[in-house]
Amino acid sequence: MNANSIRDFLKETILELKDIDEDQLTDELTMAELALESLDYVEIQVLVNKRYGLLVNTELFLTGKLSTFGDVVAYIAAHQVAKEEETA
Amino acid sequence: MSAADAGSGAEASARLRFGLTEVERWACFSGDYNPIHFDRAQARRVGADALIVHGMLALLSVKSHVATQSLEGPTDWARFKALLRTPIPHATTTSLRSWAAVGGLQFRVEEDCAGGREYFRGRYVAIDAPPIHEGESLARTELSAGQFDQFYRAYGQDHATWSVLDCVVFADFMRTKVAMLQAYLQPQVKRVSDLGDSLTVHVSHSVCFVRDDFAADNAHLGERGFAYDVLVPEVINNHDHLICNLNMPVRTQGRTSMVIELGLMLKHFVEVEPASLLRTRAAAASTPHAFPPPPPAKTLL
Repeated sequence: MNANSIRDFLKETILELKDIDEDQLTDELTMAELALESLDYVEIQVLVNKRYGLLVNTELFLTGKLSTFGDVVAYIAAHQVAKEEETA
Repeated sequence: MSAADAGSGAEASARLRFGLTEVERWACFSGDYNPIHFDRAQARRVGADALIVHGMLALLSVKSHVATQSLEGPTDWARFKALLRTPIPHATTTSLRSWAAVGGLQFRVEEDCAGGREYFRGRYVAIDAPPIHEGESLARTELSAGQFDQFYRAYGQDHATWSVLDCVVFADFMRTKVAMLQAYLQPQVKRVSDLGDSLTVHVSHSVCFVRDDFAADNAHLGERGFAYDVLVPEVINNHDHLICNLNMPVRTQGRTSMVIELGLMLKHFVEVEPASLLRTRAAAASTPHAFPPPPPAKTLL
């Protein structure tokens, strides 16, 4: 599982939620700029959970711990690495 | 659908409007007589300014609209997925737009004015065969020909077959499975009365189906021996609300022909268990009916 596949998955997810160009979805784009609403966070949470078996607590978004698109990619990637190490 | 506006090529639009007559007809078909659809005071209590149209009633028109467009591509399956962002008030004229997207169509249902609110958004696309969840089933139900006849009596024969089956499964779920689901979820809520104080909101609806299985005439659906399972749901506990993702595979002749996925949000909890993610498949699935029936919850579907 690499960051690029996670990035592609997240892009696909967000493009279903928001009317933005794919080119705008850079790692530096902030969640505030994305203007996600509460139901958007729920959808991201459900799809990430289904795909990666990982709960992204919505508090992480609200408290700014995951403030950019790249932060979310890195967060999921780090948990995937930890998961792979556990099972190795 | 009250009036179709235009439709040409890959882009199409229509106006949708649902009044009390349409809402009553859906309630009669689906068994969903929640007062938020009929009682203005109840609707206000959940934050709506007006009486609310059943989400599945509005989606029926959306599905009929997108199903008129043929999907490109060699894949065997198709997926209709809608995100239900805001409840649609009674007698509100909404604009339904669809346009070409990779593998199919995108659609939006919005307030019919410039800068109006978005009600639904989603896609109707050809897909590769999705992974079929073989999780533990809470209930298995065989659908009768009479249930399809009820749909046809209410809505006629002019709907896509996959959409008809989706509606019939949903209506059976509403009539016979909601109390079971509440009983399943009840142990994940601390206070016994919490589910009774909650509001269940239908936030997403997905239908994946084998395209060839639904090319046949509507009239034969009831004779094809469809049965569906309600699988043990994925539950995410978000402190002030619970997310319940429910998979319902629909089978005929020994194989899965459709998978319906309901995204439900149970809101207005007073207090819930602190666990961030509750995966209680084993515990609850082993005794799904062991809990006393909870008081009826409000359902906004």
